[in-house]
Amino acid sequence: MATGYWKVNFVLGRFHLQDFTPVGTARTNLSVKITIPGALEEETLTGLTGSTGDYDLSNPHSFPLKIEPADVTAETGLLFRDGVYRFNVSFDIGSTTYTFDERILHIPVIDTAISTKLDAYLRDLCNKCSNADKLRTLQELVVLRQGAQLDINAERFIAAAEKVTLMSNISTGASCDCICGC
Amino acid sequence: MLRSKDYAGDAELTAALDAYLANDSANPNTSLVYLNRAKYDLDRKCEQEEFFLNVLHHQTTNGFQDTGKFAELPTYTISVDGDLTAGILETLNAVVAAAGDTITVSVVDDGSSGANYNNGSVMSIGFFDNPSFTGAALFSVGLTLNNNAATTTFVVPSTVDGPLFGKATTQLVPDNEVTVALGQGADFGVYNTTNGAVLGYYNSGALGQAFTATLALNSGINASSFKLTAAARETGTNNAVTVNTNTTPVPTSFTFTPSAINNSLDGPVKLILDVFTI
Repeated sequence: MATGYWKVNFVLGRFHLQDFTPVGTARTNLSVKITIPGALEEETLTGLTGSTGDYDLSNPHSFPLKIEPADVTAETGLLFRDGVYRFNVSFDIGSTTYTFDERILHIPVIDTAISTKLDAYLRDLCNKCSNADKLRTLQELVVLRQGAQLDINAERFIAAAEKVTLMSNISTGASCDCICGC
Repeated sequence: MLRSKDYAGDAELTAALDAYLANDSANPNTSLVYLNRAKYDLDRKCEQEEFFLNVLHHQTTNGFQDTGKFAELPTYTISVDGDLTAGILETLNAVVAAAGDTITVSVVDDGSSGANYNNGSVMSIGFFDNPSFTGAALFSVGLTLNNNAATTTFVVPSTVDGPLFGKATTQLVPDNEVTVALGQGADFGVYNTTNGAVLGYYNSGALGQAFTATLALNSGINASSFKLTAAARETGTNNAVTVNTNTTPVPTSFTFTPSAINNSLDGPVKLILDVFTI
């Protein structure tokens, strides 16, 4: 089994998986599985090919695999939720099977919260002493984000997911330290 | 808080920081205390600062790792040059691999050249980190030919972190190869060829069949101004057969029967050309 290479982008609410495996010949037996945050099992996706602009097995470098929330049964919202996502893609070239099995940190809501809180803190910077709590919350979010990425890099996926939950709580939950600006 | 001075080196410190971040139950300094306090929104200022410093310490010790680790572009592409050894085609079972992957290299007869190698000939493929094959090979793979075919496997070394380009490091000579050899004559410029050029491969399974080679004259040569003596000789022996003797005009086609050189011919043959002005 060999390693397939895919570049994962997030474009207009969809995951785009661009096939970078440097062989342009046709693929067969494509299998795309995803595990979204909170899901107990990976989900096999269907219907990702066949339409104009879709990933083309006979011309694999032309278009990315596009995955949107509606393609994933476990995703009940209109947007992909924050958390650790696992992509498991395999295909054949000739008799060789190529596999890509990776997890990524995808936290757009938390990132927006960090950005919003930072803006709020900077706006009031002239009164820095009275904004220590805002700064501390910001520091906490940023370092938790770094810790979560370190967890992903070290394949501590459960620990990463726990940190995402904490970030979500601090960013948007009822226990938010600094709810204003969220 | 974990301090670098308490550890023998970066590896030990990183291991301790990883254990801390992983909430290793054996580690009394686990970050779980802070995470639990954060979870329930309890006062956690001290633990928060400690978590911050430990994460920062990890980052500065190992290089900042704020982005994902997985490669988005292939780094372990692997290939072999398409023309390593005459008459032999090379294939890999994979073109992309990671360190530790087992790769199978196979070579087979191309089915058309007629080149034939002695059983037991060892073909060595060197893998380089550049397509120009400059510098030393990172590692080599040996294939022992049997009936012009061989298969072997190798493991992509953990020290490899980029593309691999394979190339035969020792060019094997087919045992039925016929090459041109310029003799002692003075007028080598008559033929448009170079010393050692391959003229073809005789049929080692049917030595009684005639072998014909063609050689073009150089532009502007008047064939009638020269005479030629040619002999076909088995490399490394005195076995030979005369093909031409003072022939004029100089011929551009040479035919001989390998069995006339030796009935048990089993090595490369040179067509030795001696050209003289009339």
